[in-house]
Order: sequence, then structure tokens, then C-alpha cells
Amino acid sequence: MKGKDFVESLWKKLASIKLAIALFIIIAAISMIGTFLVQNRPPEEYIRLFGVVGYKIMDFLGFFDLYHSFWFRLILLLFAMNLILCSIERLPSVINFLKSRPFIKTPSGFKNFSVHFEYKTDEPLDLIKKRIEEVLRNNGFKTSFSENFSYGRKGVVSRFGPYITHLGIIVILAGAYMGSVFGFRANVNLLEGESTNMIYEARKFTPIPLGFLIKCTKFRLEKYPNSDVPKEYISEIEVYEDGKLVLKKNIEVNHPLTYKGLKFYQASYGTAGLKEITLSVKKEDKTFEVSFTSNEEKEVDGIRMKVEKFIENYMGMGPAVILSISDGGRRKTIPVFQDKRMGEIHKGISALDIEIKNLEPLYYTGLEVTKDPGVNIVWLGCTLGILGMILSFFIPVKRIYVSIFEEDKKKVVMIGGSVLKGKELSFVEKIYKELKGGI
Amino acid sequence: MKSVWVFDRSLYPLYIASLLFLLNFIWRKKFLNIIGTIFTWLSFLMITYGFVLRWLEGMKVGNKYFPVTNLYESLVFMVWAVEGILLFFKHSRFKTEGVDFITLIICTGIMLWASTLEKEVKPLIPALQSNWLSIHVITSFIGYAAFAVGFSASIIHIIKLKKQNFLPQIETELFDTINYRAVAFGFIMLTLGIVTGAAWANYAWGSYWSWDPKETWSLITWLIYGVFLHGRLVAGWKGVKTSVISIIGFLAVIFTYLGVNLLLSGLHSYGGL
Repeated sequence: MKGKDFVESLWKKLASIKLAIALFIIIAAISMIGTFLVQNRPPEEYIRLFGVVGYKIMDFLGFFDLYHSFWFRLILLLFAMNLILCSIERLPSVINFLKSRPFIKTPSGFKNFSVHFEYKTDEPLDLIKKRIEEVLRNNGFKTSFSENFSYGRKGVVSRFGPYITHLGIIVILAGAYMGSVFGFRANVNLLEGESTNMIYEARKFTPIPLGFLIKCTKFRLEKYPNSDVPKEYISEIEVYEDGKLVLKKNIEVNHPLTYKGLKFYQASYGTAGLKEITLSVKKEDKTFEVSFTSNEEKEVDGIRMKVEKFIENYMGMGPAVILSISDGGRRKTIPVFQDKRMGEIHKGISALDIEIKNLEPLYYTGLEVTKDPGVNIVWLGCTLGILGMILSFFIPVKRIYVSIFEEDKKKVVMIGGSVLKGKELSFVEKIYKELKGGI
Repeated sequence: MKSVWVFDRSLYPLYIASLLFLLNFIWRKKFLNIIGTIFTWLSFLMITYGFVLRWLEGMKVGNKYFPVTNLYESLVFMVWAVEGILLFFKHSRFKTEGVDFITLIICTGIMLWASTLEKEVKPLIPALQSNWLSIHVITSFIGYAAFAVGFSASIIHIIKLKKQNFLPQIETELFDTINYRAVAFGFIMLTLGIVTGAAWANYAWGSYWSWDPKETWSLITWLIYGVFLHGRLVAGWKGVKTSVISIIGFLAVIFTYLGVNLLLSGLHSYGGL
């Protein structure tokens, strides 16, 4: 007996609105802490703030990765349980509402309505009833009758709104949980022309085989005309299976590539040297052009040249190559800028006039790869959640009551109505007018 | 830039409308309310026109998306949304004495602050080129705007509960209703804002939720208004309690919007948004 009482009171507590509101506040408070105490930083930073002991205690309690700590998950679980139990607890009242036929059987009952009407008629009872049914139905009410009393309701779906929203939240949590268990995030860097069938998990760098081959044929960085603002980062990607090309697609920011449950996102890029560079070299009255494809050394008219290094942004003055050069005498190392104005500034370094005619850096593209089998479930949950809210906030539940009373051989028709989640009661008058106008 | 010129000029009708609503609040004359409403409309339409111009200006530099991509534009958009929601209440035959004044003071404040910011139309960096972003910003800010109206109604509601002779001809409950309506609508828009933001993040970074400070604060705001709705609809809270929660909720909105940018860092740090 005592055990049963305990279970019952526990159920009551778990299903209470008080717990729901408390959980809202607790989750909000924990989330807040996580925004002020920056999460997932290296231990040194925390030790500096809290000392070694403080760090160890807080680390054990999961303070540095709050949102993934066991107790935060526990609270979310409790939240989900509360949501389910709350809904179960309250569902019967909705079902009762659907079942109820609250006919109003006395004239005084209509006085409780803020809006009510009546009219007298001497038409036969059957005709009045038939008209009531017609008018209510034409106005979209679901009607029921008993003797001389009728009742109609509309917009009942609104009462299910909260349950649909709650279901949506449960579905979101389930989808998120699925994603965290069966999904992963990984990274891969590909040089132009390079291919791989292996990616690396983002946190622990454990290799994950793809099961197919992915190749970056080219990376392009597009800028807005006359501007340095990047317009688009584009990786031209090919997917091969068993040596056969199966997919060709450009990955851009906001336009990921999806293949076999994996999504590839444009995350970063960089340069890893030069693809090709063409220099124009002016010596006395002669000008020649020299092209390099790698770190090869070339000799033109007694001048030996080698591109040592490509620097994407040399001391804040834009792209440059470090050229080692010797014209019979001693060897010099000089920077050559792509921007000709910078070249002017550094003219004094060398007797030769060297300009970069054409420069093609060798790019690598940094792709982020994710697998999240729960993501579509999350979107389904979001849709349900919003749908439920629209139903519960925007669809008013309207009820209309029409009763016929006999008075001095005449019949008095009384009409009253009420509305939940809305204020508009003009429908009562409309129905009154339609009923009366039908005579 | 023409759009900035129009946005700046929209402040004048806003000043006039605020003043008229203040006078109406004191003297209660129908014509003051009517003229105030007309000036609010004027400011609203000027900003609407300004956004059309700005969209065209954006296209000239190669942007095709609706121009709500930096702090300046989003603030002006919020003023537009607040005015729109206020006008909606006014035309739904709600008595908004006092609420309209506070709401427009908020608008004026935002607009004055916006006018000190970087206003240039700039080409968009790749991450910001997304329809999800536009929808995300639009829904979020309409939500914030609704919460601003709820906030104003809450203040008037609390004053009216504390002082018997304050606005004697208006039912106290009316302000509670305005507050509730605004918050319920704002809640749906905020939810849409969070969901579309998640969708955008999923396209841009491959993760719909990463507990970035801004995301987290929008969740906190959502939870606070969740307390409001459950307290009012299920637990039957009324009066000062719900109004105070609505005020706290709006403070959380302000923090989500500004505090996060000023004090915390995260994915949203670029674009000044």
C-alpha cells in the first residue's frame, strides 16, 4: 500500500507543471553558465583560472564540457520524461472535451454567456431544428442534438496543438541523441589533384575509411570584382568507386556534397606551394620570360634562378615568392611581389627587374565531413513543434449552443457562444442572424 | 546611399508619432491617437521603401539576398517589425495607450543607435550567402519585435496593477492580453528563427546545433518565454508574475542580440550579427 502511494506521488511529481517550469529554469541556468565559462578549452587555461585542484573537481563534474556532461543529459532525460508524463496526465481532459455534449437545458443557462441572443417564432419544431442543423453545419461546426437542444464546436484540433508540440520536442531530442551516438564529425585536407579514401575524426584524429575515393581536381577562390572580399570558395570534387567516376560536384560554402549518408562541407583552404609561376626578367635591354612548375632551378642568359618558397601574404604585402638568384657572382635571396607597387619599393635589392607575370598557387581544400543519421528526425521534430504551436495559438476553439424553449404556444430560440484562445465572438451574432433570417 | 538617406529620414515621423502618443497618454484625445498612428504608418512605409532601395543597391554589388546581413540592417529591420506589430494591435481595435509610447521609444532608441553604425552595402562573404540566413534573420527579428511590444505592455500592466487611478477607463486585463498575444506570436517566430538558424548552420557548417553562445542564448530566451506560456496557460499565473517574466524575457532578447556580441565570442561574431 505504501509502495503504491509512493509510486503514485512520484508519478504526480514527475508529471507536474511545477517540475516542468523548474526544469525550464534549470536548463536555462546551466546553459547560461556554459556561455560565460568558455567550453572545451585546453586544460592550461582552466588551471590558470581555478588552480589544479579546482580544475580537477570541475573537470570531474563536467563543467568544461557542460552540454555533453552526464548530468546535463540526465536533466534532459528528466525533461523528456516530464514532457511525456505531463501529456499523458492531461490527455484525458481533451478526450472528455471531445466526448462532452454540454447542452444547455434552461433559459437561465444562457445568461452566463457574454454574448447571447434569442428570438421568438411559431414555426413547427421540426423546421426550426432542421434549420439549426443546416446553419451550424454551413458555418463549419460539428454538431450534436438532443431533444430541443443543440451544441456545435469548431477548431477542436487546437486542443491537440500542445501535444503535437511536445511530441515534436521528444522527436528532436531522440534525433539529437541518435546523431550523437551514430554520427561523427571528421576532417580531410586535399591538395589539388589529390585523392583519398580516409578521413580523420575531428577530436581524436582516428582514421575512418570512406569506402570510396574522393578527389579534389581543383580549388578556386573567387573574389568580387574590384574588391578583396571573397565571393566563393569552390572545391571541384570527384567521387570514384571501384576506379569508376560516380559523381562530380562543386562544393561551396552553404552547398555541401552528400554521398552515402556523408556530407562534405567547405571548411577551409590554404596554399601548399606553387603550381606554376611565370617571371619576366629584364636584364639591360633584354626581357625574357621564365616559367617554373616546382622548385627547379633554371638558367637564362647566365642567370641562375630558383623559386625557394611561395608565401601567400608576405609581411602583409600580399603574395610573394622568395627567389634565389645568381648572375655569376654571389647568390642572393630576394622577395618578388605579385603586387607591382610592392616591387617598386624593393627595387633597390636587385639590379634586375623581375616581375611576376603569372602565379598559380597550389591550393589545398579543407573539407569537413559529417555523418548524422538523426538530422532528418530533428527536422521532423521541428516541423511537428511549429505545427503544434500554430494550431494551439492561432486556431480558436469555438462553441455554440442553440436551445428551443416553448413559451405561451410560441417557441423561443436561444443562442449563446464561447471561444477559447481568441476574443472574436461575432460568429454568435452571425448564426443568430442566419437562423432568424431563415424564417 | 539612397537607402540610408530614407532610413535616416524615417526617424522624423517616428519622433512625431512618439510625441503624439505621449500627449495622447496624458490628455487622451482621439485625434492624437489617429495622427500618431498615421505617422507610425509613415515611418513604417519609409523603412519599407528603404529596404526595397537597399535590396537594389545590394544587387549592384552582387548580393541577391534580402539585405538583413549586418548589424545596421538587422536593427532597422527590427524597428520596421516593431512598428508593424504595433500597427497590427492598433488596427485589431486594441487600446494601446502607453504601450504605443514605450514601443516607439524603443524604436527611436534602436534607430538612433543604428544611425551610428557602419551603413555601407558590402558584398557578402560566402557563409552569409544563403536564403536560410535571410529567413533566419527575418523570423528572429519579427519575434524580437513582438517581444518588445509584450515588454511595453508588461510595464504598463504592472503600473496599472500597482496604481488604481492609472488609465482608469481601460481594463487592466487588456494589457495582459496584449502581452500574451505578443509573446505567443513572438514565441512561434523565435522558434522559427531558431529552427531556420539551425538549418542554415547545417548547410554552412554541417552541424545544426553547436552550443555557440548565440544559439545557447536564443535557447535561454526560448525557455524563459516557455515558462511564461506554461505559467499563464497551465499553472494559471496572472498579473505581476507573467508581466515580470515577459520583462525578463525581453532582457534575455537584448542579451542574445547585443550582450553575446559584446561579451562573448562565437560563430556569429562575423557580420556583426
